[in-house]
Amino acid sequence: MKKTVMDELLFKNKDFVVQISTPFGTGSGFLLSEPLCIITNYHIVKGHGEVVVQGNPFPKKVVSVVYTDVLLDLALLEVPQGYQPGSEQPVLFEGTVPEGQMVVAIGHPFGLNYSLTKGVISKNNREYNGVQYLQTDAAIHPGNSGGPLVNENGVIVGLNTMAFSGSTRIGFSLPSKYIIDSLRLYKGFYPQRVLRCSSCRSPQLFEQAKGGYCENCGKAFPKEEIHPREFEPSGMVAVVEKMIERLGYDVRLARNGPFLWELSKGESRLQILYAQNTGFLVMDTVVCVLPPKDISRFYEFLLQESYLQKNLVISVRGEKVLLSWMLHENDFNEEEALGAIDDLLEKPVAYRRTIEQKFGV
Amino acid sequence: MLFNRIFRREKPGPEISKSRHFFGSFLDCNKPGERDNHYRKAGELFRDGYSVEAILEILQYLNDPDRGNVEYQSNEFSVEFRIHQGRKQINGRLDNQGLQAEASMAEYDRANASFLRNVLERNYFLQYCRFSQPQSGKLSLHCHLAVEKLSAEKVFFALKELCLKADIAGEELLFDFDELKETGLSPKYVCPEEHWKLKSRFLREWSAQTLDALASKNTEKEPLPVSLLIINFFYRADYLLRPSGKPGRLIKIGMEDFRDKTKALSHRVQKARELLKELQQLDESVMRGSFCSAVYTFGLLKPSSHKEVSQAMVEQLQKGVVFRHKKDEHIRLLMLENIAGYCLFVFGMYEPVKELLTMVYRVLYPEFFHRLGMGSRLYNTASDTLNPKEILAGITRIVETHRQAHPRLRFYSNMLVFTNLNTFLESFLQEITRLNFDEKNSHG
Repeated sequence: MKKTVMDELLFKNKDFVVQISTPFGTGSGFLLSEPLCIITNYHIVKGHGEVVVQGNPFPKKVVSVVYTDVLLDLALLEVPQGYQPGSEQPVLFEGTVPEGQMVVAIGHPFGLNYSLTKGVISKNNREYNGVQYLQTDAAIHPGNSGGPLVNENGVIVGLNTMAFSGSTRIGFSLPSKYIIDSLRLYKGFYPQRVLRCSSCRSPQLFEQAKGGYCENCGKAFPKEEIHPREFEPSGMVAVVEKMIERLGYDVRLARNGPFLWELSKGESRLQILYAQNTGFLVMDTVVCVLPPKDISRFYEFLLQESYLQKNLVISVRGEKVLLSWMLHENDFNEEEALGAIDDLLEKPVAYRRTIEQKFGV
Repeated sequence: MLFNRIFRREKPGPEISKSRHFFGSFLDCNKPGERDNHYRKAGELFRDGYSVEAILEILQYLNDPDRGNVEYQSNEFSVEFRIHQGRKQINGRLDNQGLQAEASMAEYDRANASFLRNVLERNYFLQYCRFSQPQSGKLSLHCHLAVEKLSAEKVFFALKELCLKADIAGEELLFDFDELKETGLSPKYVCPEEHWKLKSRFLREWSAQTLDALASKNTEKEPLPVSLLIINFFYRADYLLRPSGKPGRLIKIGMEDFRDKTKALSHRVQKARELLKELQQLDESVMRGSFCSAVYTFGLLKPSSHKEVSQAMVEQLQKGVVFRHKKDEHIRLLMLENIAGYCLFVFGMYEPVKELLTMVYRVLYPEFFHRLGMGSRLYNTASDTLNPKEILAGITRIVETHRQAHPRLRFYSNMLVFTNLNTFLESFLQEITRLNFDEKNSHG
């Protein structure tokens, strides 16, 4: 498969593939129009009534989980309010995917935006728990789950679901035919919250299933499906979240994982990390990327600025210039941290102006 | 000049005894209880807002009067201090602006993207301090803590990071970038000619002896003695010779490579042989300046309880029993040296334990210590006889020196067996495992 085809596939799917995050991790999903929803894996949203979605067509939003199917490891989410699908829509493949076909897994592995990994269908009917999966050697990393597996023509052939334990190069995708069936089934209930029984496969309205058992066959639903847990932060995580709320941010949207948050203000983006193993609270913001020329003079400028900064650290990481602040949890002081957040959201803007003037970056 | 005027000591500390040698680096931990009290007091004073008094307590906690590693002077409103850490001296000041400390790192005539980027990349991993440029053509490492947010822990860990990084990065930068001229050297970092010549001689000798011993061994058939020969050499060279510069780098890299168990032993042995040859062939110009005496304020190793240390020793001693039964005295001896070397390398021990384990080396390498001027030989290699009188006197000296700090410390010398080298070392190490300490929590 040529690079240009990969580029085209990414371009085609960029508006459909979204990132999904919960307080415990992130995954991928993609937008569908009939009915209008986001499809992803159940294991990504497991135990949550609401999750955060973010993608090209909309900024970070909290949406509800509207359909869950534990057996197929599939979930449907509502789309953010105000979202209007464009004229181009993703196409789901209905037939049997031939073995040997080139495919591409699209998603947001490790929280990275839009990654593509290519491979082939090595087996089209790998059975697990009575479900026939597509086996592929396209790498499926953590965070890729819930994203689409597309063929060369950009048609969705599966939902990336799991990787073989110990190897990211043996992945399994739920074939599109299961997705189509599920969408047809759900269409009749849209937009109500529905659970699908893993035993008799009958759909149950959430309100009816609240007793915890399938009304049809008596099979118990997993507890977390019936009683989604509220995330209850504790310790330093609670302290950070309280601080974020005090600043007027919706903490659900700020979360990027159990110990990671992201705040935006204008053109500045601030990442807050609580490193549990060391007890340090670290805040990083990107000032700019390194300029292509006059680099020594630029580095000297950064080091001179570093001398003037009292609390903030200027560093280079990869191609980026970062402004950071760090404090050990034992020394935590909310006022100091709030001051640092303010600085980290404001100072990069001023720095960018100066750097632009001095170095033309 | 101004700094020298400021840093007149209020009370001159005792002079470092000319015959006293400090081995190993980054080992300063498990301080005596009286110094711990200073740390506790500092915590209380910071809480009550007495920053000047608190920082003075911290400095007393850090200062080892025998080494004179911390100097300071104060008035009602401020404290100026200087800390010595290996090759660097770190200057600091506490006043109503906060605590500022700085190590001058290097200067250069022409800016070069590679070393400038190198220090900026290092900044990403620093927690309290940062590399910066106070003036054009100069690099420094500094930290600034606001006065109203100080605590004993924060000050301790900030100074620790600053001092350790200044010392380690100072050497690494010098090694990696020829364009840099080192600045901020500690006056206590000295290389007397007789010392570097002696240590470089022993580095060559020990490299050659290890190579000779390896030549008569088959790695496949005798993996244990081969490994012990190599690792013992690294431990010994690292602790007793404490090389910096190129030999220091080579030993550090060699040790890391040899401990990398993902590679086959034969491959690791081959690499070690090549390294030993390289060490043996280093010329005088490289050796000069690579064996300096220095004082250290902070240690890299975390303080270990004596229980941890003795457990590790007992385990190793038990492994050696089989070789005693087999009468394989050569392997047994290598294992006994290994116990001392390993513990000195891995654990942050109490000072008397460190000194007692150093005695193992004194017994095994009498010529080196004799040449250093450390008294009579504890073992006569030619006649294969021990010197019980000197050994017992040495033990008593160590115990008595540390009696005040560790009142429960007892060494039962009557349990030592002087019949031959291995039996003695085994009984000596056994007794070290039985030492009593009032275990405490310490910062380092």
